Amino acid sequence: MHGRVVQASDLDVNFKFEIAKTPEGKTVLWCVQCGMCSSNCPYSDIWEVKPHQVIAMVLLGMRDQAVSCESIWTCATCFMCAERCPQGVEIANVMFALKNIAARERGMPEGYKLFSQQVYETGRAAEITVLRERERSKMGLPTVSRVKIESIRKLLERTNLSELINMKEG
Amino acid sequence: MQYLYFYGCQLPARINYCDLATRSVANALGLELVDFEDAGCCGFFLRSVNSKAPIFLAARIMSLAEKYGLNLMVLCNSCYAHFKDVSNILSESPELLREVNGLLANEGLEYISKTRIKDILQVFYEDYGVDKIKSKVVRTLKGLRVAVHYGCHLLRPSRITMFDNPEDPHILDELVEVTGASSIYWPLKLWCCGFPTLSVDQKMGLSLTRSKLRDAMDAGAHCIVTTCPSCQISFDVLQPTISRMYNEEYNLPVLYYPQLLGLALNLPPEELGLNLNRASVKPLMKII
Repeated sequence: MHGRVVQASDLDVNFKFEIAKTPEGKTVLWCVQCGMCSSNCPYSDIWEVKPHQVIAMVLLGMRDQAVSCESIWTCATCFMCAERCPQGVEIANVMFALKNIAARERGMPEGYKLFSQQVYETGRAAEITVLRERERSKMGLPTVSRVKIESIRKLLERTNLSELINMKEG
Repeated sequence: MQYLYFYGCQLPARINYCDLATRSVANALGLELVDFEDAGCCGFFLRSVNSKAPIFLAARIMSLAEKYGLNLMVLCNSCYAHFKDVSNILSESPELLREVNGLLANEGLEYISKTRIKDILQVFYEDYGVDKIKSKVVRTLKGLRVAVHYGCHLLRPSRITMFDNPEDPHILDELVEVTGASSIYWPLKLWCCGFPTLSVDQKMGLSLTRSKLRDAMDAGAHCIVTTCPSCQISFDVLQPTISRMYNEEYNLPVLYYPQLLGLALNLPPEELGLNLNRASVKPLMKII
């Protein structure tokens, strides 16, 4: 994003309100761009777009850039940014709001797709293999309890999760 | 003392030795753990893709817990924070609570926020008490230098987790020191282990894990002690991957807190699964 000119006509000036209306993004308008989040983010030296810049994109209306930047997906959700923000902006939560939009409009990364599929099919985010069950029984541990998958699915069918799983990343 | 026992998804898939150690220590202390039937994913990681799914899944588990009439003991930091978060959200939004309970009613469930959500450290620290643990310690771990790692979702966001001072926590440090071991200063103590990034960019996630491993070693730690299955996986299970990735050699023992406590209670190493840690714990046995 460095050294690139952003045309005012390309901006979506209502984007910040779209984010502020979501449960995860409700604090975004309080940002004063002090940079505290970026000085505490463990990925600041790696990310091309740093936390305060992601927020700046939202405030300026750079919708496409905000929902397509890699930072939102690699965020470690360590919440250091939110914990230390003097304005009470929940930066990591704003990233969740952006990811929700990105997942809907552009598809989610493969890793998230696998996790989501796993939950949809087994009710758990990680697979318990036969090998693991054998290991557990050898250790004298009870089998991992089965999850009533029909119940989980009924809940998830009230959301767009299965659509998201079947979407191609674009 | 009886608890409904919830260990989340990562533990049974990768590090069952943590389950073994927890049960052994609970047994030695006289804490009764009741296995939680039908409890699956808490929904935390789904926050990235949808705003309702993580709430539905957490509410279902909490409503199942209410049927047992016991407090919930949670092993995973992320599950703990997520349950607390969803409890807050549901208590602040009657509309969402109605929607959730409408869905749960299909299974004869209802979320009434009666169950208390406790992290395993809160069970040790608040319910059981450091003094009582001290009275059970029969083998001092004096001389052992421990890099204490809390993990993110116990401490932050503090307004939700309400666990400890997020900038200067002491609960796990005290629980470590009650064994006779010392908790050392290491600059990156409060940093993330990198686990949540692994599913999208393994190298980026492990760069954090590596930074912390180096920091702990530079500070003269004999081991890292964790309290979260995800952190334990990052530091212990993935240590050989980091060694390969960076062409460096890492052999830093990583203990899940109940394993450390179990040693101080003089439980046999095999009952603590210490033979199953990926980074060999043998160097520690020479020190203690």
